[in-house]
Amino acid sequence: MNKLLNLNLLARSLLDRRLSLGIYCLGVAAYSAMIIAIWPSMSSDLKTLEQLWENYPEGLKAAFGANVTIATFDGFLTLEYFSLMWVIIAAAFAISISTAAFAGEIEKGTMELLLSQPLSRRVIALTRMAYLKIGLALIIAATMLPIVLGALLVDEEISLAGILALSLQGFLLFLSIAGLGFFFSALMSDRGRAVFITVGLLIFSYALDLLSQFSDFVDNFHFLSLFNYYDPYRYIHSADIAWGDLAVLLAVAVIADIAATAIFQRRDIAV
Amino acid sequence: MNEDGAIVCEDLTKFYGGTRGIEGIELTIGRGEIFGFLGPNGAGKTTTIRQLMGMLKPTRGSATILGFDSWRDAVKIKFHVGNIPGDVHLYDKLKVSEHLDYIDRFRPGADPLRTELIERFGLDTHKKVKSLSSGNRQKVAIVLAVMHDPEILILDEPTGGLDPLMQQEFYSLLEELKERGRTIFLSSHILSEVERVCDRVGIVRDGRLVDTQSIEDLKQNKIRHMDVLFRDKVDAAEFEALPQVTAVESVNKRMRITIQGDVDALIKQLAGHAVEDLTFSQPSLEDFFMSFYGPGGGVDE
Repeated sequence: MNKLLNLNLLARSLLDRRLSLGIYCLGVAAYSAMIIAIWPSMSSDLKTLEQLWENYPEGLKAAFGANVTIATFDGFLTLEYFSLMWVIIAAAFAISISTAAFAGEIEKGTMELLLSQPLSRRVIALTRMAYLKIGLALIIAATMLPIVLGALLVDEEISLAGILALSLQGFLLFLSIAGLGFFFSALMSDRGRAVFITVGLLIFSYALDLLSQFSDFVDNFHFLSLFNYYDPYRYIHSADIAWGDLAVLLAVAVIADIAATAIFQRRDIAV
Repeated sequence: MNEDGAIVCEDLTKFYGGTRGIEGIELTIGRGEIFGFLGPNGAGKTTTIRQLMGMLKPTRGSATILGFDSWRDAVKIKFHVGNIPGDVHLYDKLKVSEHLDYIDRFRPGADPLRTELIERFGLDTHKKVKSLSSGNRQKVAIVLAVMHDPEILILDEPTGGLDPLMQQEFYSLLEELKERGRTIFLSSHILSEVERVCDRVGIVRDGRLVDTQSIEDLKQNKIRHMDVLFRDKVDAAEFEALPQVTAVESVNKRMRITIQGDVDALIKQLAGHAVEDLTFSQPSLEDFFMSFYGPGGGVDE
């Protein structure tokens, strides 16, 4: 265990960040509750909503998932929450934690203190990554719990298998985003730059996903976008898991984490 | 590899890209020795210490501590080493006591000196680290480095920010640790500090170890100034000709003679003149230091 993780270090991360992690969890839970709360009034206007949706350009509809029907409960959740807002919140957490892991601590100067302890760089890296996974799991749980309970309250059917499938897919997407953050954090001694590059790549990835619906040429490069492997409606609606997509997200996360650890193990620590 | 040395550097070299940090440092520090690493800012003291602590990978050569390689065996070394970084950064959000607890838990076993050190340096452990003055932060760094009573201490300008009283307290602490057989590597640009506590001194300049001397030799070799007031004006040339004299400044009947080494020849030369007054300043390490750092190795005043 102590070759992989340091519990003291992990506990410190959990304690230090309990407030910010709590705010993230509260944020996603409140958003879930809000979406559920407005659903009943929205659903009574099904027709208007559907017309609105039908009037969207084809490409845009495709971007959100061509088969999404906004007039259904899970379609509404997907379009109003899981296709963008949820991703933004969880990605913000993933990027904030991953970039702080190395570059942030080097920039603050506390890495020198940490490395003066009998603690290998690999253990530091793996412990930081473990904390991220715990945080993401909590954020996802805080998102899904109000949705499952809320669905009961507003008397809507939601597939538990679908929720679990979407949770898994989201978890892997955010892990892969954090992987990029860890990678640039390990390369740099300036957290701001690591954030800038990771967010830049993410926006590029999102734009690629969107534009590939409109242009065949861009579609050739769709596979480069992380969001090509993220299809929330398919998961929440039918729990139809695309194992290939999940494998890609997992591979990005694992490879990026391994690369980040290897770089961190070999680099000079100097502010 | 020299197994007798607690700390051994062999051709230790670090380049940052094309810029030289340190080059070809050869050094053996025995167990129980207090070794001073003397040099101005930018001479390479911190680079050397960061390599000893496994923060930087040597470009060439190696450093070993208790026989362990400072880069490859960095974790093993940390069980035996306490370190005060040159620029102390702490976890600001914690209380002092929480901070000590946190670092303490990385090492299994006791922290035999913790309570004593807190009392000795008058540290208020209930305060938040964020609210501490730089002197108090330095005290926290001292406690963090020393509380587990490590065999080896690696200290990068450890008295920075401490008031004179606390500096004295810190020096006595080092002396006690030495008596108990601890090895101490201390970098400094304060000469009185090195003179006070060290057995031996290494002098670094521009990334190279220029010289290593015992404190006794150091005192012997250092430069002193003799201020003489003659009754009549005396020609400076006859003093400049003496081998030990490195510089002579003459204004009217006053003369300041800078000398390194034996004074006998100078005294005899002076005896040939009528002398009204004479001051021979107490040898200072500062002057010795200047002989290494002044332009062209001469005294820079």
